[in-house]
Amino acid sequence: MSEDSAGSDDTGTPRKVVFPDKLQQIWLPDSVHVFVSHQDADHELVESVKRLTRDAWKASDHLTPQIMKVAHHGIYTRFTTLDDRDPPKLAEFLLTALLKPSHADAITGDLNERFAKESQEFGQRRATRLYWARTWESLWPLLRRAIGKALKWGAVIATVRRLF
Amino acid sequence: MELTTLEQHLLLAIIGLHPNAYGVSIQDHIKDRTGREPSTGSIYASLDRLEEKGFVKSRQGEATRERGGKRKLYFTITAPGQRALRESLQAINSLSHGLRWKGAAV
Repeated sequence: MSEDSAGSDDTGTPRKVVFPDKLQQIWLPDSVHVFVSHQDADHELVESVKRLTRDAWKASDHLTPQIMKVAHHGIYTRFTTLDDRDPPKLAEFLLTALLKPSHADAITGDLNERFAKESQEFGQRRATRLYWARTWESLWPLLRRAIGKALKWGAVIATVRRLF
Repeated sequence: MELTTLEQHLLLAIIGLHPNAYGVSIQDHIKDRTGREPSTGSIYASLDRLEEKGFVKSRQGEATRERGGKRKLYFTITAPGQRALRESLQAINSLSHGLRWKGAAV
């Protein structure tokens, strides 16, 4: 077994994770890729990597392990930054399109706050579903408000045009 | 100036939570006390309307990591807002005062 650091936390402190000798690593700015070649990997090693990955995940709140591929004899694991745990971008966009900038920031911030709490409580999948549910139920009132404002301004402009 | 039920709830929550009334806290406050959870969208649509009428004013607060770096928007009630709320609640009180609930089986 060899000892390697696998990433760092927000303060820049290196986090130590023990990896088996046969493991190879690729370091990228926002993620750490870990893989074992097919000929070297055996069942024991695959299980060992899975366990270490889980341990590393528990030790850090900013790296998410994703086992990308567990083949017959191989394993490919990727550690990524928080980006993969971010709320759905499309949902954010839909909300921000219907609100003025200060309110758009506030509403997406509120949903993100709930998402962060629910991710920890229920897991990311359920938190994402809840985020989308909140977005859908929010769209109609916001859309109605946006249409109401547009019609009001339209009426004002039409009145001004009639007068002058 | 007439207020809808949601607008009444929002103004009461803003007074109750002062000075920490922002989207999430307002939503939780209303849910805890009425058992109904208005959607985030309807809260902001109504707050936008109330702000336009001059019944509430907003100020930007802190941005935290869990909010994805987005700032909170804190709301406070204005004097015209308090007046409108008081009149609206008084109207309900006057209408319900001395009412005898008939025909409802308890």
